[in-house]
Amino acid sequence: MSHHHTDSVETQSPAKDRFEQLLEFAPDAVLGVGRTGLIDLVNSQVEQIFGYSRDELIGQRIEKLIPERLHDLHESHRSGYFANPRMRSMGAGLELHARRKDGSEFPCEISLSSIETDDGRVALAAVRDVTERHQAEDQFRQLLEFAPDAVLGVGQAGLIELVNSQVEQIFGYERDELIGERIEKLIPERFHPVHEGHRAGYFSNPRTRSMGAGLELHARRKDGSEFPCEISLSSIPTDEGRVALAAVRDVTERHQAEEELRQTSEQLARSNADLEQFAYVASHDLSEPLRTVTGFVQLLADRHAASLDDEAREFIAFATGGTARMQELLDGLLAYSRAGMMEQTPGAVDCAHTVERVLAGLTSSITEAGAEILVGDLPVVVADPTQLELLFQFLLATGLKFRGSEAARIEVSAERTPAGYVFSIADHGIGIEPQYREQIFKMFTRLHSRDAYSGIGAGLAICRQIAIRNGGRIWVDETPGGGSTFRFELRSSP
Amino acid sequence: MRQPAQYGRAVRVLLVEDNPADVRLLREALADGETDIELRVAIDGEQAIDILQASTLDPHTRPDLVLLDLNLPRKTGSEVLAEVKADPTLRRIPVIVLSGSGADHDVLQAYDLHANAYVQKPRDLPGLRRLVVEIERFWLGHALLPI
Repeated sequence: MSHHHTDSVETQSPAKDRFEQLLEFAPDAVLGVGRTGLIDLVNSQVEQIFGYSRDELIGQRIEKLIPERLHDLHESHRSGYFANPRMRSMGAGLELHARRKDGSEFPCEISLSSIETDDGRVALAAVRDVTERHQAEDQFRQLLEFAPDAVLGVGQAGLIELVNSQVEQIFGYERDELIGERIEKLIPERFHPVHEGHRAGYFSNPRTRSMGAGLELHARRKDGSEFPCEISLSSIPTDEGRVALAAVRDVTERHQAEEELRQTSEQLARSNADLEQFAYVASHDLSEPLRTVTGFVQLLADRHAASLDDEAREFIAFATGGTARMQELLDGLLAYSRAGMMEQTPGAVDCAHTVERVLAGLTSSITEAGAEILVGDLPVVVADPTQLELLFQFLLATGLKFRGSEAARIEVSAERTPAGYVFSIADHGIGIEPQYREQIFKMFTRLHSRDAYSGIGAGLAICRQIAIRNGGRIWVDETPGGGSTFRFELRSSP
Repeated sequence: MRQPAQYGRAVRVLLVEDNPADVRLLREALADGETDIELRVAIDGEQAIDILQASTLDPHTRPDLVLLDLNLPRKTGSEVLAEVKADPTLRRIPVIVLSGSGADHDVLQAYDLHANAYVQKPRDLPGLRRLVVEIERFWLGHALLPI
């Protein structure tokens, strides 16, 4: 195709006519500029994006469409182009600006080409207004900066095209040290061959997914250190082809936390199991020699009491009392370990019925204590029914036992919480001093002499076991006006 | 005619128990009992099996009742129980497990192995005396034995 240059429309050749018609179809604004820098040719897109009519441009210096500050630079580039007029984009890597008729500017991309005409070489400039694209890109960048993760954009060739500031933070590189570099720079060397293969694979099916699902991934910082990470992959199409986006999350802390949690719960489970096993075995194995001592002391008393003096009989009484006490302690230990080892068969438990049954069982203690027991509305919860009954029984018995000098008054109630229900068993008895309120849930903790209150200090420890085993917790507060309020929380679902 | 007393002889009881103190206490309790009992003691599981097998050759030594502890050296009470109940010549002999353990696991296992009763050892002498009397009354009074 040849181009015949003329200022006059009437003399325009059919070839040029066709050429200009063709230009009208181009999506971009296209300008033809002669060696002297005068505009020779424009299509209607030029009129649209610059706001000039064709007549206002033809024969004018091309610099009319360029911000003034760039005129000198442009003139020299223009002469330079004619010296080597190959097809290329203008100002590769630079941000170009054009000026509209109203003086406003817009960012643009310009492709250059040239054609030979009768009047010499004409440069063709295809100008594309990239305002919108720049805005979109800016938004995209801002969005990336907002992302909590380090985000990298990687082209098909494996070069880093885009990073956000989180990348700089977690990898220790400056942005400039990464753009244009191979992505493998951020990956431990031993994974390079594998990664290169996977990278190529990703571009053949660039769907959104996580990288290496189920595998532990590692990334490498500038200082050569590594960190475990999770990576999500996605991709976006760009003018330069598809770009893979990798969102990298440093999971070092989470891994540490998980590991610590795992170790702690393992230790806890082990020590709990050990303790329960110990308590169980101990109480059984200790029972045997105790039975022997008990039996023979009794035999001694039976057979030989008559031939013994008062002191000897007193000694026997102490020994018998000691063995009885030991047996109580072992029973407590056994009950405690059973509460910890008991199989859980959780079901829906109507606490109103449970408490009713417990109170029926405690009738004689209640009568003896002259007790008044008020039971509020109680919910249905999910728990092991036998253990829950035991829990209510222990706590009510505790309230009755430590009633003090007055007749016992105990209120049983429940309150909805976000997690489930908190039950309260409030007495107006002797109360528990604040410094003992945690200690009393430990095995064999007693706050009173045996003369004042019998027992071995196992009940509340067993209550605590039961609460924990049913996914809850137990504690004690002071009842307003004096006394203790035992509370335990149970979750509403297992 | 299903009780030894009706044949005019002592009841033969085999006690399998390794703890001499428990043996002694049981002897004491039996001595205070109401029945004429001929007590043999095996102090471990193997000895118990030996005595029982030998008794199949001489019916006059065959125990009428076995009292079996579980925690035994050489062969555990459970193993003895399993062997006795698997042996056609021995399995009819009533075996009462007499153990210190009250654990569900032990109780269930004993009955799975066809124990005839499971009793936890009483913790004191009065308890043991009561147990002996109860056993005598039920097993040697009411129950008809395979003799």
